[in-house]
Amino acid sequence: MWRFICQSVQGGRHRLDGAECQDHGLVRFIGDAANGALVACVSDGAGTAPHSSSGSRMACEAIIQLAENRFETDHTMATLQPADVIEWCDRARRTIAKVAETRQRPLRDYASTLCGAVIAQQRSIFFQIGDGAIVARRSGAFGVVFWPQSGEYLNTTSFLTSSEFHERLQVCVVKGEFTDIALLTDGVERLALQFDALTPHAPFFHPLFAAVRAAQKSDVLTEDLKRFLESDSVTMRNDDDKTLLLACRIADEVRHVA
Amino acid sequence: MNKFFADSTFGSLGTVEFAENPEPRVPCVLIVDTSTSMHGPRIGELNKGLKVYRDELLCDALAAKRVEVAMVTFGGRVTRKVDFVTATNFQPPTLEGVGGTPMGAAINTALDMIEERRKQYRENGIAYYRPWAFLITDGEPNDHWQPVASRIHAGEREKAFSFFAVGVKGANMEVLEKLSARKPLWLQGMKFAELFRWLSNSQQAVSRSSPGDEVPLVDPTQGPHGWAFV
Repeated sequence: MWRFICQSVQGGRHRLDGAECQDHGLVRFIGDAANGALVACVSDGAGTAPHSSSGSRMACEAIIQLAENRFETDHTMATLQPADVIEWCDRARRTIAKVAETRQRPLRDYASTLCGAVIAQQRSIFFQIGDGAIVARRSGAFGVVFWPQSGEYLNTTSFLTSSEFHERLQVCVVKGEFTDIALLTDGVERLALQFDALTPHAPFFHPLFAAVRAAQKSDVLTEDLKRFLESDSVTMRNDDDKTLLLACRIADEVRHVA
Repeated sequence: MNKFFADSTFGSLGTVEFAENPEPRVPCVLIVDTSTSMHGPRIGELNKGLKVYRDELLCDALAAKRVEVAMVTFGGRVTRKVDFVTATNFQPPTLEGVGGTPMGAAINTALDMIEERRKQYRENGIAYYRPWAFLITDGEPNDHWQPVASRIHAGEREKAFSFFAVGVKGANMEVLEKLSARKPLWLQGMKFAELFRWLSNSQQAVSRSSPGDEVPLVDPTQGPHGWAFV
């Protein structure tokens, strides 16, 4: 079984502006232990897009909903193909486009990035458009699945709502069993990743994953994560919105199920 | 290395350590007219303005680490007065006005410096924002400036940098309009301090912007802190 937490906090800069947090994250375990999967996504709404907060929320909700539909029809997540998640992203984008049309707003007003992971027992699919990152651990080794996509300049990236999103969407399938997964938006990137070596910064993740593993109640932990993301030591390094999603496969309960 | 709340579940299990990454940079090259016409109170006010610029940048913890300043002067000849340094290490020089106005060559030097700097950032994995080139003059070029105008326009189209031109009384605005893709501005009197305060504020805003942010600049012709007119 998986134990997971996810928290989005508003950056200091946005708090001063009176803007709302434009990040969103969602995580669910869908299905049963043998055939189901952990489905996780985070999305970062663009600062200049006036409705990006709804954009990022709709993107995450759509992905979770489509994953649930998939399990209902197929009763397994182990056969999911890259084409399926591309279709999910397409549909998530269309859902956002429909809302934009109803409200007579251009699609770019909902600009948001998307990082997603579907972690089945022995096979995982990752997908990403724009910045942010997915960090995954297998056999004790950490890796960043896709390096955050940004343009030449730091304040430029691609979005699910971009017209060229098909070319920018990255998808990969990995076989094997992942034990720990983290998804994060760009507000956390520079604290959690080593930009020279293009690796996760292990001393950042070790204590966080250890805490998730040791936790008895995930709601207490979620509060702790919020306090951590809002602590001075974090905000003095980056005052953007931040989302951090952490998930760990808990071995004991897997044995119970087996 | 960095402790956080010891009373939390995380704290009891160990201290989270942050990755040490180089700060992303906002490069800015000032292209400053130091020809004879600038001599006297003008250059004096400009020198004071440069100190204001440094002091204002240093008041902002992120901008102090992220904004990088360079300076090219043109008075008689073109001088790379300051090579790119972070605001913390920027020592404003005391400029003197003497000589002709080789503006075209000075702009070319400045754009070369931007290109070199971008290359260095890329080679060292340092993230950066769109570079600024900021021209201040009270005269007109006495060199061959037309080729540099097309270089500026091409650079703006490719978003290689943003080029701003400010004319002090006596400047040839017709030339500045041909040089700059954006509308050049007149400086009100000798409001160099206000100009540099605006520059610092604008760069502070850019230095904390994230993907998708387009940073709107405060209109420098408006309000009590305005320093320009069109």
